[in-house]
Amino acid sequence: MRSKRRSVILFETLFLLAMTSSLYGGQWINPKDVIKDPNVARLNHNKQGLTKQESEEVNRYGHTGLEVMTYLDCNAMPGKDSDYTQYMIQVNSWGHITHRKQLVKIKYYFKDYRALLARDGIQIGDVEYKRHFFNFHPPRTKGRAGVMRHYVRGEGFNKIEDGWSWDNKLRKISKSTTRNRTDSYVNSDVTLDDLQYREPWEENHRILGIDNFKDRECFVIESINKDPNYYLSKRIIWVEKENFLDLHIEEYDRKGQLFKVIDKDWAQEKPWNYWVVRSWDTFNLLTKYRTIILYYDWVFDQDFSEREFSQRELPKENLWRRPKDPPISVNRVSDLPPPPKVKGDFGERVENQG
Amino acid sequence: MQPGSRLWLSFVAMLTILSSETPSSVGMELENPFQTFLVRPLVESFPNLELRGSLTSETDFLLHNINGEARSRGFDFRGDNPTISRSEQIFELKYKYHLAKGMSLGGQLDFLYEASFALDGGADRRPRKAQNNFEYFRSFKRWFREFFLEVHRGNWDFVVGKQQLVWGRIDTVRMMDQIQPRDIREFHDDATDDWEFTRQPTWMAVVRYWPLGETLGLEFLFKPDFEPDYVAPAGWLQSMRTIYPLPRSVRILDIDRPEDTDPSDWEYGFLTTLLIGSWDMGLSYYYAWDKSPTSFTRRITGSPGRPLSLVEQKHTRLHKLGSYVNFSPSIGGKEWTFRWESVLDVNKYLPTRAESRSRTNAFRRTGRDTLSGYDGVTKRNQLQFSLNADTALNIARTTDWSLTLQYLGTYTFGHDNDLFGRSSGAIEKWWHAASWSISKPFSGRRGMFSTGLTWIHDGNFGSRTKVSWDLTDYLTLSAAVRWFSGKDDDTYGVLEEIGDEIETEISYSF
Repeated sequence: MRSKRRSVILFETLFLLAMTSSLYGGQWINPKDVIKDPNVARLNHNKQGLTKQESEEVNRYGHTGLEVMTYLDCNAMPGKDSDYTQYMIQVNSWGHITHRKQLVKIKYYFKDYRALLARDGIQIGDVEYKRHFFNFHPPRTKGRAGVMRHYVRGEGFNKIEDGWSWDNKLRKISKSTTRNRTDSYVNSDVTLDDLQYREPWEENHRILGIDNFKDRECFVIESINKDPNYYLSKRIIWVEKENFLDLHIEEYDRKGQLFKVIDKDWAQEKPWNYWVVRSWDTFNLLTKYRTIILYYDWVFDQDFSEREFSQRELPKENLWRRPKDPPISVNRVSDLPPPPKVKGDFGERVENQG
Repeated sequence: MQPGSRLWLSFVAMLTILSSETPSSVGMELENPFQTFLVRPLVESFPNLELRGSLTSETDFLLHNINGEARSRGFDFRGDNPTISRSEQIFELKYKYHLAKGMSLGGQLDFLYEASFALDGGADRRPRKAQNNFEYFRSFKRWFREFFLEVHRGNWDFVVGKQQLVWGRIDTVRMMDQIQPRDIREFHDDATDDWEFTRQPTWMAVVRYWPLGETLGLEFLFKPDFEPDYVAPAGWLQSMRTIYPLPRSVRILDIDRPEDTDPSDWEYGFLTTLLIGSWDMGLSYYYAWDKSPTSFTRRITGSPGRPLSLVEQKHTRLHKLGSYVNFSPSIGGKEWTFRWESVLDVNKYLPTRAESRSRTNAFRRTGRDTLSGYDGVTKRNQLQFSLNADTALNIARTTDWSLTLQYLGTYTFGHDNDLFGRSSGAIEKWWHAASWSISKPFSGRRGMFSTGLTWIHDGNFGSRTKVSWDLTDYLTLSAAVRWFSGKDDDTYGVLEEIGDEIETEISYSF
């Protein structure tokens, strides 16, 4: 009987191990189950203990703000590698539209997200992920490409990434200079911090309450950067409660004025069921510029070789695959969905209600 | 049809094509006819084919002539008073056909029509030599620009055919990037925007081996096809031959060039690259031909009162040793990229003033060419190097600024005061230049502004400010102002009146 139980335990252990690795080898698992111990998320980046506010959040909502944002960050890095197409539509205040399209490959260098948090097999200064992009629209940019190495930042190591780019006109590889985190991503209304540089532990998070966004129940989180000179005074983020997906973001400038609204449309990609952002819609309330980034034709877990992220690939100007099922090209503002709307200062509403 | 009429016809045709579809009322998007009627049908019929191209029209106006200012230096423009220094129409078609996995055939066709001569006075007022030179732009060699086979197998890459190869990493100056000969029609106008066009592709084989992934790369170059730098004939506005005309006391006998069929005349090169963490390094050796010929005085003839130097122009062998180091540290929360790049020319021939003078003076005295060993040149080693620093800036709370600082130095080994440049004054032991440039996107992020200033140590300056605007995904307009300032015998000073110009460009890509 005892040996049978041992066999069952052994089987279950092996099954769980297989499941854990299967997150990065096939199927999405809720970040809570990936990280397992919520304290790993609540106390990440050398946090010593919960604050009084966080203890209250745990009692009231079951999570802390940092924990929720960490789960969200876990969802933002699906699979062990990914390959997708990015289509960016930029609309200026005059209604002029430009389009940019690129292929992107990403490869992650950690066992799973828990390992990244716990520094298990990956240390500060190590490569967290590598990215290879290839521009194919507009035609003047076709062939421009780059490879980037993004590092694990932390105590004593603040370098974000190293990159090399290929200029299709100059016909040479250049060592890229990492832009300021507040700079725009490819001259859009999305900053580099919005898109990829900002880490959950760089902000203080507070759960303001629960609200519905597009009929989905969300935690509403206020995030204030720890850097007092940061370009935003705060962000208010609507994070879907069950799967930890940020659906709506409102950004406030240094004067405390709301100036940017972002809607994200998340969906699960078959057959892996990883959650991915299908659409990232940013509207600048002050300049009236709008940037929509559509992500499509996802392929996961292809076991990319190192070569595919090396400088060696750049001069080939290789469109490594033709994107399937591209979205219809939008040339008129009237063909676009309405821009993201202000949901309102949830924090003030809560305080006023209080 | 007169060349001038052809120019205007091509320009009108281009505008007609571009505006053949009604712009959508709001988006201002123009259709892309070449994409619709050429590229898409071909790519759909041949799925392994990739095609893209562009039509570019650049016209540059000379500032001083526009303003009606008299030229004081008396450059020989064959009697004209030109206002347009360049009117270049380029049609480029780039193709790639995937033969199999890891194997492709690629290349580029490039048709160029330069109309500035035709516009400024008409072809019949040009010397025959100039006309012959312009034939070059319509030659097969010019329009059949690139054609190469690429094979990638395991750790090996092979590229064989007519191609352009660039070594080195640094921007804005050519250090290790000296493998391709250049089209230097315009001596002063060497903006990096045009490098793709001003490099002349050549037939060669390139083999790359990556024994340790991207950590270590080994590259071998075999280049049988020799082409010299293309210098426009005297009379062309900013040709070196116009700016530094040949004295009447000199006659060119012959230009000797290497044989493409003789392997001992080929060029060979080797580059090794090393990537360790953030450090990106390279070392190269290039057994090259000097792309500009050296002038050897072979004989002095004529009368003592009017000696005539008979000069043989010959391309000479050079050993070029190159190095680069790139490093991107984070300093005080700000990301920087530092670049070093150098090239050491071993056995470079430099003109010597004393030899030329002594030989001519001896002839004047005796009426005989007694100093026949004085050929007017001597071998020296010369080191060129550059340091560059790049970072991103926020200025007055505005983001997206880029700043580049650069230093450029040249050191001549075995220097003496007798050395002088092929086209300028005395060669100094140390030569320094420094530059800065900034750039920023603007207005809906469709525009790009950039400006920069270069200072040369003897007190002359050059500057270029450019604004470009993406009208649509396919159409880009740009305008730039270039100006020079300095003394008459300075590098940039000599260009003050004939180099100051406004550059305009419209480019349609498909």
